[in-house]
Amino acid sequence: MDEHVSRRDFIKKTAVITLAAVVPISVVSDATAAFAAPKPKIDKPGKKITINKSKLKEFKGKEIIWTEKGSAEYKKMMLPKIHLPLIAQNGGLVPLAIASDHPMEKGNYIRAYHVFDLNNPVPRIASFYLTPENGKAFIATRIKIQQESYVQVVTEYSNGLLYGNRKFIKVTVGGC
Amino acid sequence: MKLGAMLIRIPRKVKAGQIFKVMSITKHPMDTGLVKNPKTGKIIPMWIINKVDIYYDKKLVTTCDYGIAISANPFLAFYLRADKKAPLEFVAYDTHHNVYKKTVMVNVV
Repeated sequence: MDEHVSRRDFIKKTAVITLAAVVPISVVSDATAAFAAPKPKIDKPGKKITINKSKLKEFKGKEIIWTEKGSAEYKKMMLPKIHLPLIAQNGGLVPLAIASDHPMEKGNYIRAYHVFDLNNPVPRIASFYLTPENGKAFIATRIKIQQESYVQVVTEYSNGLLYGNRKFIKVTVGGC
Repeated sequence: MKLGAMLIRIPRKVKAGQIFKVMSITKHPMDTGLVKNPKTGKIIPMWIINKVDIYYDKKLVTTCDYGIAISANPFLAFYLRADKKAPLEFVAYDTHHNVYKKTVMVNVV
């Protein structure tokens, strides 16, 4: 049988086999090279995030008191609830609401809320000064956040004491 | 909407002594001074509202000090106790020395 294989037939068969063998290997090797090259470039900047977890110690020369959530002092001072989304998709527009049940009477009220974020280029975000006329210690705004971090709210009472409170937030795209 | 225009929303009628919600939006770019213009490559200079005063019956009720980390077209909501029929005035100051004002009447029944 093998003796009758002509020269033309031999070339045809071998050409098909060689094409089938050579072409896919070259394609795969190109593809792996193409996928492998950009990977480290994408991964590097994402892993560099470092979060400053420290709590603010003083503001305007006064000491800030930090209490544990749910403790007796936390309940007594009626520290505000910080309403933030768990994950903010757009860091340029994050809804923030600060609400407390503390009474707003003359001589016993919340004088101010100071909002901070230590991972922003400028840590101090805003201050809101309230009076007994408000009737309810509530503020809602929208803020910008650079990266995943803690948003800290310092509550100033009418007797001059400062209490700290904070909440964690994740941000996918920075907004500053 | 014109730059610096304010939208203020309060209930149409309130009872005396009732605590009602006030919501407001001001049209403003709030440029932080850290962002580059993608076309020219130059930094857009800082231009923000840095203070908002709210007067009710010509008495200072609430003050807000803003930094650069307040988002564009700043939104503000708070509560107020209604005493009598009186004007509610918003005064906003920005870093280009512009002053934006808006007054609404609180209808106490």
